Amino acid sequence: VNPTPDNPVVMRISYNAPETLNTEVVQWEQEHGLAFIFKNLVESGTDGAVKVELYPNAQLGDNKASVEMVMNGSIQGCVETGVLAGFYPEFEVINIPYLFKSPEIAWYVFDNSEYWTNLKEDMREKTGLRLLAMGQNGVRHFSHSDKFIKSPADLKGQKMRVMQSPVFVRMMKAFDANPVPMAFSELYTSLQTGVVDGQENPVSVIAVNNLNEVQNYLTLDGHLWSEDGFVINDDFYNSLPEEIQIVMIQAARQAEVVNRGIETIHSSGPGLEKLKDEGMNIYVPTMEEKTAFAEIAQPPVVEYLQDKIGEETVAGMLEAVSNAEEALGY
Amino acid sequence: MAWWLFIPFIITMILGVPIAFSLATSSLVFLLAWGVMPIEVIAQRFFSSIDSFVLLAIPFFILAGELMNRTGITKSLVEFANLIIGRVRGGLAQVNILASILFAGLTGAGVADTSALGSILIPAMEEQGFEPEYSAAVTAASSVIGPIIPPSIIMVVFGSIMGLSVGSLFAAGIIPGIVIGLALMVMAYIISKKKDHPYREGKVSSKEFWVVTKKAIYSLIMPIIIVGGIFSGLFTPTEAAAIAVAYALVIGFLVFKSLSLEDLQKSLIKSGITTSVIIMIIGAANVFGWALSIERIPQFLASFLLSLDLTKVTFLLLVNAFLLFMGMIMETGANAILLGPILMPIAIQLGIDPLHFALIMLVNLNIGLATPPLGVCLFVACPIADISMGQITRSILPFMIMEIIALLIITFMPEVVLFVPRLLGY
Amino acid sequence: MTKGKDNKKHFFIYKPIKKITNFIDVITINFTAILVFIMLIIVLLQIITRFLGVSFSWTEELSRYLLIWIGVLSASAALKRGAHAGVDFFITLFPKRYRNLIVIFNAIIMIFFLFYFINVGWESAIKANRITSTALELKMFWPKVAIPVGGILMIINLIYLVIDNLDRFIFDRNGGM
Ligand code: NA
Ligand code: NA
Repeated sequence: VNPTPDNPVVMRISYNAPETLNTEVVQWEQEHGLAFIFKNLVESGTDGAVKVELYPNAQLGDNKASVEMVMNGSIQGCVETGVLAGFYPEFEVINIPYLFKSPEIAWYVFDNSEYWTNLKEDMREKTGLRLLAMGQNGVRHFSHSDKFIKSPADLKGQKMRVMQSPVFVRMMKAFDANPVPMAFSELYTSLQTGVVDGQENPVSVIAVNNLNEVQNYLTLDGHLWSEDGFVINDDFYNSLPEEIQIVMIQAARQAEVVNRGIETIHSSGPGLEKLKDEGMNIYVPTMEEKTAFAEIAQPPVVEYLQDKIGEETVAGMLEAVSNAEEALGY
Repeated sequence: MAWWLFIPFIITMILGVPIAFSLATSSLVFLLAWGVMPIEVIAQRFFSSIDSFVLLAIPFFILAGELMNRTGITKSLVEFANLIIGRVRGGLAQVNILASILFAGLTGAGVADTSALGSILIPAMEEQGFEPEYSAAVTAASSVIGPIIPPSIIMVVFGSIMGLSVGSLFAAGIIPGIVIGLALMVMAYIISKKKDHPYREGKVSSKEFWVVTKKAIYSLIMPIIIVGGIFSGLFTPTEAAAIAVAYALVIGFLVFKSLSLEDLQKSLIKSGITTSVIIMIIGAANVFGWALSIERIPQFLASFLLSLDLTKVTFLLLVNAFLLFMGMIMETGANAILLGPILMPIAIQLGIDPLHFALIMLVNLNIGLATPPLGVCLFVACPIADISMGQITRSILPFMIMEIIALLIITFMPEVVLFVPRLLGY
Repeated sequence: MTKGKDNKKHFFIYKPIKKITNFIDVITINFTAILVFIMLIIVLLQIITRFLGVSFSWTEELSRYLLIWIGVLSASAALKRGAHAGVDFFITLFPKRYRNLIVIFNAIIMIFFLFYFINVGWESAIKANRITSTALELKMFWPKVAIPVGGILMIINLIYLVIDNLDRFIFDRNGGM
């Protein structure tokens, strides 16, 4: 293809988040922010040779469906959260509990490490998905109906909703909790009625879905980092002239920064404020308390992942993280 | 491009191709004509829209209703309704409506209501001298209550696509269902006076009263188990459906002992087949909805509607008229899947409570179950009464008017919908 | 449908294909009945184990995949029984005898769709072979292959429907379904 302003190529991008921004909670929605910036920069950078059409609100399909559509070329790109491991198992390596002590370390690994570049390249070869930006969906925290989760002992015997993933189940089992895998659509009611006692999600998810109405205690332990992965169809990318490819890389990179910024605003600003204002009790655990969680949660998950995606992949990530910590002066 | 979607859709629908295939085929024609998207998207959208845990409630609620019916509980419900209301003017017509309200607590679909109650009540009414078309009309019109009072399959489907809690929809349906029932009873009363319909005379002995009530109580407990179980946190709405089946099995095999293994087998088969009809519509409507989205038709409609600068009242009246029309020509589930995502955001922008609007849509679309030309409850009622669609069309008209009045009450008195959910803390 | 011996005149392939579809139908409906029952047991198990504090992570996923199989497999049985809702108002405007022809035409439209449905369903099942499900770590081929399998069963029933109605039309039996 050689698109020109008169003969533009269309790129369709799907994501779950709404387009209209919930001004009560946040000014911007981070997935929309990513897609919006990408659209603007690509359209202006190519003088309209690439037209980017946005399909928010999961109107073309949910996360998993969107990635499948990108793979088979029904659409060219999507912003997803938490489903890439279903298509490329190695991606699950980011789900080691308490892997990143702070988002900054995660950013460093994704932006600078050779390890991550190789992993992305491997994924591209095996799945035809090009990970153009690694945005941030948020850091997951524990919440509970009637007590703070301050130590692993607080989780003992508690019915905690988790996503239907072995990693999450293993982590909860390690804490002697009772993991209840459940679809997100059933979560609010189940928390309200007490089918489950607690759950874990990023601040923005809790705030936007009003889970604070049915959960009184939130511990900002940040056990898992989760991505807003912007993936595009590699064949589509390769069909474009090099100048346009470069515009896309630049646009995606800036969109990624904006996305991370918005998410940070959510989870530290308006989102957290909303939770506090509406009466949620929030606890920030100490480093020692986090370490106590990590020491219990990490070994079974690491062991499981070594088995599933290979010791090298896991060791490589752990090394990349410690390099990042060193480089950042931790 | 959009014509490639609509024209095949209209043609196939007029020709009587089942709605699921009509939606799917027109989406296929659209994709073939456009040639930009891989056709694989059909399989992809179809699969991922039916890959949902919430939808499991469908086969279970069908199965529970089927088992209860085979246990003989339907008959005991009719007897119970007769005890309570049989002496009122309109006699068995009133019984028919009350039985529908009670039966609604067991069934998730309107058709089940028509076939189970109709097969008992239509012959009984004819025997007492009610006109066959009137008997069929009362049965079909009151079946509409089945999916409005919980459990309700359409609410499960709607909740899962719109991200609304199924529990809150269930709670919201209780009063509107009763309101429709009362409205129909008023009409049955008026007609019975004009036509001098028979009603039960003479009192019932207290012994008979207890025998009938005791039998009926098992079925009256079922909605309490379902709704109570959900609200007390024992289980999710989907799991409640499975519990309902377990309860029906216990009642059928251990309490009434009237259920056989063959009944179980037949109920399981029936559940599978009815589920597939709904699943195919959900899958196909999602493919069709995807094609609409990629053509940006929902946005176009939404911005058109918003540009009209409607007030809340005119919007609601317009939507109601539009939905009544859609309910006449298209299947309830397909309507809910296609129109929900378009209309809901506009309603929210106009300041209408999402739960309230959901109920307006659902009540309205369910009325379509009993309106010609595509009213599945009519298709079921007509052969039972051995009458034609033309005959039932005339005699159902007064009841339709009452249902529209009930719909307007539900539309303009949000409390009717929201009272129970608020009470339960939604 | 009348029981007893059918001594009327028929197409030569009418009887064999009727036998075959009936045989497939019996197997399909009983198989899905078993699947519905298994699905019930799994969900009940999910509730009980949660109360006991030993939840399994696979119950939800397995029951979802069973639902897909049930839905798509029974669709052919539903076709056979005319259970799929459609607008048959306009058809009733035609003389009875010619309704057979419309039914045939509609069946051909559905076969046309199903032909693509089976193809793309199979394609996407093959592609999904590389992907494993989250909880069961099952190859996604298995849930996805339900679509082409169900599609083939539906086509078989539609072919029977075409032959049946053609037979009715030509030998002028009691008019459409
Ligand atoms: Na009901
Ligand atoms: Na209708």
